[in-house]
Amino acid sequence: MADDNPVDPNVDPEAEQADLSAADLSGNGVSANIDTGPAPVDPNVDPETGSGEEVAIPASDVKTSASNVDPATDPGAVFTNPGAGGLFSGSAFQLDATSIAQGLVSTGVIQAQNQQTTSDLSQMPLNTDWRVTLRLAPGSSYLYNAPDAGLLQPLKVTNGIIFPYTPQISTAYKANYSTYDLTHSNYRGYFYQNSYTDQINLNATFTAQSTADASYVLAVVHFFRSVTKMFYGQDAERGSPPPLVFLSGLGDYQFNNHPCLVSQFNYTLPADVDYVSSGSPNNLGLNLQPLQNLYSTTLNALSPTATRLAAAFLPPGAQNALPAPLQGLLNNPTYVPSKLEISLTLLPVQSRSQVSKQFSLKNFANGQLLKGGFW
Amino acid sequence: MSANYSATSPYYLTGYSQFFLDVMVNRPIPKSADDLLFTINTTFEYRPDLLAFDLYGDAGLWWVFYQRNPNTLTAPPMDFEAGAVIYLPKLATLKTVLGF
Repeated sequence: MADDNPVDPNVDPEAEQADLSAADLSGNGVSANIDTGPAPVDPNVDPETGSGEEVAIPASDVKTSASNVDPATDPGAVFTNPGAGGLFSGSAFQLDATSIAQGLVSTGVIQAQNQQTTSDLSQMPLNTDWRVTLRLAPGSSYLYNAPDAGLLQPLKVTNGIIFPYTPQISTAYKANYSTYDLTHSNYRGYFYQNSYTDQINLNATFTAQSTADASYVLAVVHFFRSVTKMFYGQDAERGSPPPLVFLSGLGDYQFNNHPCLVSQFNYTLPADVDYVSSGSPNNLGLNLQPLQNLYSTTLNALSPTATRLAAAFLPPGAQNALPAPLQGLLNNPTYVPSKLEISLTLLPVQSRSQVSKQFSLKNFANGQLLKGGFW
Repeated sequence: MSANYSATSPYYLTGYSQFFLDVMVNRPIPKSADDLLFTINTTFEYRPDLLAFDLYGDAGLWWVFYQRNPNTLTAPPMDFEAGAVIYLPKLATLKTVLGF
């Protein structure tokens, strides 16, 4: 094509760009060999246009005026931050020589940025914790958030229960219809009554291979024991029902701080597995308590430094007292199975205010309300 | 003439002549009654620099563990093993003694 039809650089936009590619781009001047003067372009004389092949630049995009495009003044020319490897867009792709030269220079920078972006995107799932968690309300001051959490102390570090293995979660959404049976009719009729989210059944597995794991499993079991009871007697919140818990995990559009109640907690202590003591020194006499929460904190949202220090029970600067270990457990170990299956029955809860002021089927259908914790 | 090392360096007090360091002047870390007793865990095994960074914000202070525990730690960093019990000097102590 090009051999048969000599190209005139003065009129062929692609040829002009080819010349710019070979221009001397060294030193301070990137446009030393670039013709920045008026270059009238007529698509009608472009040999490529007449060759019958696909036109690289549509004729409508070719600037036919004899004036330079000034990115700073031309409203149609958008060239952002040329010094830092800016980007062309819109009519800036027209044939202004200076802009094209700057675009060539910035190509390497753009490629590097794109590579970094691609790298970031590929690593993004690693930075997102989508494990299933069950937490108390933020700002609460009971159970594991109490100042003296005792047995539940391991859950304080992870801010709730993190299920180490993906649990089986069964959810049912129901719409109730009543029936009416017409006399002398071949079909039954229905009228809508209501809709609701049925109870959630969650089956999960916990394992313990160290005293730290065992303490965590013990804390989990005791948390579910406790969260089914109301505040009573000597409690400051006496009279309050069992607290709400919030289910999260598997991404924003699965469970996103969905409020629920624990109505049933089942677990069976198996007879055919080993049992591990929680919180006690091991056979070697080494106290492994500092390893508590090691696994659960490594992926926590804390900084790596804080995570490592928390796992080692070290305060920054070595200046404060160490967190009090579970002395009761150290002296009187409690045994938990090395593998424990638990099942939970959760009741989805939506407050009356939420239902009236926030719910709309439109927003629920497009997913916005899922992020707001709507079942 | 002292060498051009920072106050957190073990060579801060060591002399310097022409292009050579003089015989090293030791910078002992005093004992304190409330120094933390720490059992090195696997996270910090062979990594006194990591522990110094996490505790004091300066990996260059790794040597203070060796100065504070001369009977336990003698061959850095391979004797910084999990299970070894060492004393950790406080940051305030280090600031006072080392002057940074």
